[in-house]
Amino acid sequence: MKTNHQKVLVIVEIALLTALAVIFDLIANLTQIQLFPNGGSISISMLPVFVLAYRRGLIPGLVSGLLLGTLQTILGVTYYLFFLQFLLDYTLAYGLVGFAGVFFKWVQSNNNKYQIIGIISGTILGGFLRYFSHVLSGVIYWARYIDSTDSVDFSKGVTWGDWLFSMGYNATYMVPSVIICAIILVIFNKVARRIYTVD
Amino acid sequence: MLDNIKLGQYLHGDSWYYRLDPRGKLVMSTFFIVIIFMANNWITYLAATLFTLLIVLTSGVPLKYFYRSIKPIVVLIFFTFFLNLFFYRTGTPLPPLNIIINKIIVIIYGVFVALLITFRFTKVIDRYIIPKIFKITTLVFILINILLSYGLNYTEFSWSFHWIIYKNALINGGYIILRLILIISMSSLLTFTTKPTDLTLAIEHVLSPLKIFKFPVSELALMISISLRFIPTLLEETQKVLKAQTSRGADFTEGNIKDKVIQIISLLVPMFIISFKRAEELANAMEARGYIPGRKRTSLRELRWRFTDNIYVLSFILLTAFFIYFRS
Repeated sequence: MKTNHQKVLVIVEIALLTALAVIFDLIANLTQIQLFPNGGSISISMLPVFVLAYRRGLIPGLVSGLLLGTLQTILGVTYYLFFLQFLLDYTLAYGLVGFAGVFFKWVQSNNNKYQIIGIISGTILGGFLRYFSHVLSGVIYWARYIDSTDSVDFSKGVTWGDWLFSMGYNATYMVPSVIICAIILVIFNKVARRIYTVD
Repeated sequence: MLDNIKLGQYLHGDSWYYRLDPRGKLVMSTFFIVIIFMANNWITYLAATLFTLLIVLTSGVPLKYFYRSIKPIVVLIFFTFFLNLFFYRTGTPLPPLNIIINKIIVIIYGVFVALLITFRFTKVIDRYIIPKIFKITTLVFILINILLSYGLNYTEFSWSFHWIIYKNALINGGYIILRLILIISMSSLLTFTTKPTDLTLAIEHVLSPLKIFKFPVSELALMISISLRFIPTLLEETQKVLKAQTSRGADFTEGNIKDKVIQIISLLVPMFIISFKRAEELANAMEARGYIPGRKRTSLRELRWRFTDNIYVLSFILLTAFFIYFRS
């Protein structure tokens, strides 16, 4: 059973690390090439979500991801094209990153090898789920939104071209992001292990 | 480096739109994005445009801010428009374009896209690279388009390019551009005129029915407010760490990718440690003041629902009714 102090601490940590993620996003916007309009920049803003997932477990990770998506909405850095796109590109996309917390036990173990495997697989899992969410949103955008003035129309088939286009477009920023995050997170484990552990 | 960051989009001002209840604004902005998809002919689009224009012009927010929020998405809008132009194939076709006109269009399109991409790069990349990027992107686009216009006929991919533009495609493309602009104007108006703290309060109220399912709405709202409160503080800390590491010889702008990662880690590790320390302090402070997660809390700021809010909501309902009646 968690004490009240631990509960409050987890809440505050989620809040502060999400704030940190927003800051990373701001810094990335200044220093990097902003080529893609909808959330598609190579940035390290997922990093705090991963750290939280490895430090506190699955649920805090998920909450932190959801919070990051919501925070970006409030700060108005989002692109709102239609409702489903919005959910998939922001709320769900970042929320899914928190699933890296599945490997919480691995990262917390005492075996160095397990820690690294846990970190890398968690990062790939979280990154892949976010990527999938963006791909889905892209497919819906290109396949449905363009063709129909009416509404998002689910009666038509999706062509391979739609999938291919969306997968390619989203891979251009997601793959580098995930690789950079994985490298940084593994180095964290070596140089500053206390980021992942709670004393 | 971090001096010119502006957090959030709130603009100081005062007008009837500023004084509206944030709950009404939040729900109605979302509602607008749902109902705009019901518009499908010129009369409904005209109504939607006039409606948005009326709100935008009387809201007291200068128009240049709307232009600024649409600017980053111009590439996407035009890309959608052009794709729509070539993929949308219903209705009467316009007279088939002959091959020379095609090439001119391809070149103009290529130059246009290249220009857009180049302008994106100008902020960060050395000036002498710009012409190079421009040339490469132009070339790539022209090549791709010429290749596509010559018989690359993947029927399975539905990429058959006949370069016939249909009349409906033009109209439809126009509607898409209009719709995107309307949606972005409406949603930026919300963030322009509502303080982030008010918006958080509104989200808490709107989500409060989820409390029945034991969803911790008020804890979530608390986390949002803490985040918002601590973004400037942590930004200041980031600046401090940045300066400290720079004075020790770290250089965040130069070097190859390996150097850059090492430099960035020298910034990230202190930031995480500082955040955890702050969290510990804040948690202690909150506990000392009797905060217990899950208990009912009162708020210093109370939202008030006025008569104008009713009128605002009513106007959206009338717009919906208009859409339902006049849409084809």
